[in-house]
Amino acid sequence: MRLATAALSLAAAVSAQVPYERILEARKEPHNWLTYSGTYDGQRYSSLNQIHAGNVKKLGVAWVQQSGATEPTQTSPIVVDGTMYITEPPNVVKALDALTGTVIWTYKKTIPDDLRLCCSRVNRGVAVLDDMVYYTSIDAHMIALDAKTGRVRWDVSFGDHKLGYSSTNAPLAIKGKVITGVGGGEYGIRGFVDAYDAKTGKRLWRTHTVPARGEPGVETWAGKSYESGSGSTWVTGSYDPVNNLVIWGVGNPGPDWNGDVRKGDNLYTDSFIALDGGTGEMKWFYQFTPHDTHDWDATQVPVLIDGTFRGQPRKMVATANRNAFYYVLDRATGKYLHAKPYVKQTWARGIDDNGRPMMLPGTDPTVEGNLLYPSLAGGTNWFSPSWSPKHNLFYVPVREEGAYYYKGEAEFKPGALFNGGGQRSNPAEEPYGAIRALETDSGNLKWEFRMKTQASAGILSTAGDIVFSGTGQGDVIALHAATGELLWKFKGGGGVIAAPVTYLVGGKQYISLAVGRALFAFTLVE
Amino acid sequence: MAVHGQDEKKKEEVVLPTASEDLERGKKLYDGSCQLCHGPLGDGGKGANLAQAKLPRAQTDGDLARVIEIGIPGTEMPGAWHMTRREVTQVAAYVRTFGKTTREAAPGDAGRGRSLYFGKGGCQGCHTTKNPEGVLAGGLMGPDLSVIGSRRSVAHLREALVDPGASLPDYFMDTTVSMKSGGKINGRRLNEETFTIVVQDYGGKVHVIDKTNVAEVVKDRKKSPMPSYGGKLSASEIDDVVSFLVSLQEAR
Repeated sequence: MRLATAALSLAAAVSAQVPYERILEARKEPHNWLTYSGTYDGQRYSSLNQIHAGNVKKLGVAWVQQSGATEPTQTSPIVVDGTMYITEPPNVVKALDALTGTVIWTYKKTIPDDLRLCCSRVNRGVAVLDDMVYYTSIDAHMIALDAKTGRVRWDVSFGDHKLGYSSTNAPLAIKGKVITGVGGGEYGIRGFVDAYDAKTGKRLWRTHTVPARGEPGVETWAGKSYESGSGSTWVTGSYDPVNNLVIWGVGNPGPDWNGDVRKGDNLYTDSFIALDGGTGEMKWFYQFTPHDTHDWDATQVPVLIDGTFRGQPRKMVATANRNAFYYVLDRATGKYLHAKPYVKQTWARGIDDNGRPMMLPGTDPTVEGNLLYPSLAGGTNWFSPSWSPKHNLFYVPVREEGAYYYKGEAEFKPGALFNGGGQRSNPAEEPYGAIRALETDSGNLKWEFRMKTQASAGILSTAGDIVFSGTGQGDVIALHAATGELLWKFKGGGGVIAAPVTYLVGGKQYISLAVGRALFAFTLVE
Repeated sequence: MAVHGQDEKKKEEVVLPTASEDLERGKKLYDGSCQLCHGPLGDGGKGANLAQAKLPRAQTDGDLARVIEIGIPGTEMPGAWHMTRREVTQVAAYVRTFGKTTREAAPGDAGRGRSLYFGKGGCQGCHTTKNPEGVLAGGLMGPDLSVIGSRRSVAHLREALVDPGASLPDYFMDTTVSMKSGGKINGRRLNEETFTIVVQDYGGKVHVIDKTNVAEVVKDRKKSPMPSYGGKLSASEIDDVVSFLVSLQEAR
C-alpha cells in the first residue's frame, strides 16, 4: 500500500501531461477526472466503486478549500494524476494537491469593473490538454495557463465585455483545440461557439448561433431582429469523437420575454447544435422551443448515450430541457425520437411527430402577468445531469414551480439589459425540488428524491450504485442509484450550486463538490 | 439579479411622466406587479399604504423610482428588475396619483385606542411597539407595529383586527406537525429544509424537528393565531384602536 502511494505521487510529479488520447479514453482511467463531465459523452458517470452503497455511510470530510469570494463556487474540478484544477469566483484558478487540498499555485485574472452581467461573476471550471490548463474569464477571455506553474501562456479576448459578452463555462478541449461558448443572452449579443488552437490561441473557427443577413435561418427572424438575437452558449457541450461532432446547447433569443419584436422561430436559439470539430460547420440542429418567450435556454449538457431505443441499439443524445420536456434525439442526425414532460408544464399539448411543440394558446407573457409552468429557471437549468450505463437511468435535478411571466418594453441598446419583461413567483404555492431518475428511452419516472427547495446542483452517478448531489440548503446527499433511497447526508452549510466529481489518489476514492463558497473533498473515514 | 458595474444607482433627478398614456401604462404595470401587495387603490394590504401625500421611504420621485427598481433590502419589497427605466417612471407616476386622493381619516380616539391596546386588547402580548424611551417592547409572535400607521391604511388595519387571517405576511405560515410517536406541535414555521423543520409553538418554544420522526405536516397560509376582535371589542372601540395604530408613524 505504501509503495503504491509512493509510486502514485512520483507519477504526479513527472507526468502531468494530458494528450488528447487520454481524454478520449478517460473511461479507462477513472482515478482521474479529465474533462468537465468526466468523459466527452457528458455522462458524469464514474466506474469507481470503492465508495459504494454499502459503505457510503462512512464518508467524511478529507479537506475543504474556501474561496474568498462573495459569489458561490460553481466549479467542477478537473483531476490529473493527483493534482486538482479548480476555478473560484470572480477571477481565480487554483491547482491543488488532490490528496490534501494544499494549494500548489493560484492564478488571478485582472478583470474590469464595468462588466455587463445578467447574474453574477461565477465560473464552472477549467479544461486540460497536454501541459496546459484553459480558463475562460468573466470578461470573455480564453487564457492558457502552464499546468505546473499557473503562468500565462496565452490570453485572447473573444468578446467585448462592455457589450455584454462574458463567459462562465468550462472550456472543452479536443484534439489540438479548445472550445468555448459565450454568455450575454440578456444583452442582445450575437452568440457563437469558438475553437482556438490549443498551442497558440489562434482562433480556428467561430460558428454563430444567430444567422446574419443572407444566411440560412435568417428568415426565422422578423425584420432586423436577428441583429440583437442573443443565442448565448454558456454551458459546456459534449463531444462525439466517432462523428467528430461538438454538440452544444444554445440559449434564449433576445429579448427574453417580449416576442413581438422578433416574430418567427428565431433559429438557432434554444437548440442543440452539432458542429464539425474540424471546421465548425453546423451538421445538424434541433430546436426545443421555437420562438421562446420564457427564457428557456437549451444550455444543458448534452448526454451522449450508446443504448437501446424501443428495443433497437441506437446512438442517442438525451437531455432534460429547461422547457420541462425530456428528449431523445438521434446523435448522427439530430432527428427527434421522443419527448416526455419530467416536471409540471402548462405551455404545450405535447411534442408532435416532427419534434415540434404543440403550443397551447395564451401562454405568452403579458403586461399584467401570466401564470405558466415551468418558471423562468425551468424544469431544470444548467446543472449537470448524469446517466448510468449500469442502471440505464437518466438522473436529473428538477424544479417544480410556476411563475407569473411579464411582458415589458424591449428597446435594444448595445451594452444595456435587453429583457423585455420578467417573472415573479406564485405566492399561492411552495415550490420544491427533486432528484429524478428517468428511464432512458421513455423518460418514464423510475424514482424521485424530494427536496424542500428547487434543485440547483449537478449529479454524479457511480458504479458503486450511488447518485451524489446536493440541496439548495447546503446538504450533500448520496442516494441509491436504483431506488433513490437516501444513504448518506452531510450538512455543508451553503446552497449547492455545483456538480460533484470523483477521483482516486493514494489508493482512496474521493468525492469532491462545492458547497456554498467552499470546495469539499470527502473520503471513507475509519 | 445584481448587475455588476451597473448596480450603483447614483442619486439623480428623476422627472416622472405626466402624459395620460404613460399613466395608463403605469396602471397596467402596477396592476400586474404591485397591486397584489399594495392593493388596487394603493391603500395597502400586505404591502405599504401608498395612498399618502408623503411616502416615508420615497420622499422624492428619484427615491420612489429607486425603490421600485431595486426594492427595499430586508423587507418583502422586491425590485422590479424586469421593468425598463421608463416603465419604472411610469409606475412611479401612477403611484403618485394615489397620494393625491383623499385619505380615509382615522375615525376614533387614539388615546382611548392606546388604553385598549395595552389593556383590554392585550395586543402587546404578541406585538411590539416603542415605549416612551423609544425601546421596542412587547411580544414577538406578531408583526412589529411601531410604525404601522405609516405602512397600512385605515381599511387594512380594521380588516386585520376583525379578520386577522385575511392578509398574512409571506413569512408567516401556521404549521401543525404530527409526530410518528403521537403528539402534535402547532405554531409558526421558522424554517424548513429537506431533512428538518423548525416550528415555534404559540407558547413561544422553538422545536427543531427531524422529518424522519414526522408522520404529517399540515400548513395553512390563511390561519392566524390572532383572535378576531370583532366580537371582543365594540365597533367604536375598534375605531379607537385603529386610530391609535394610525398614530404610530415613522419619524420623518
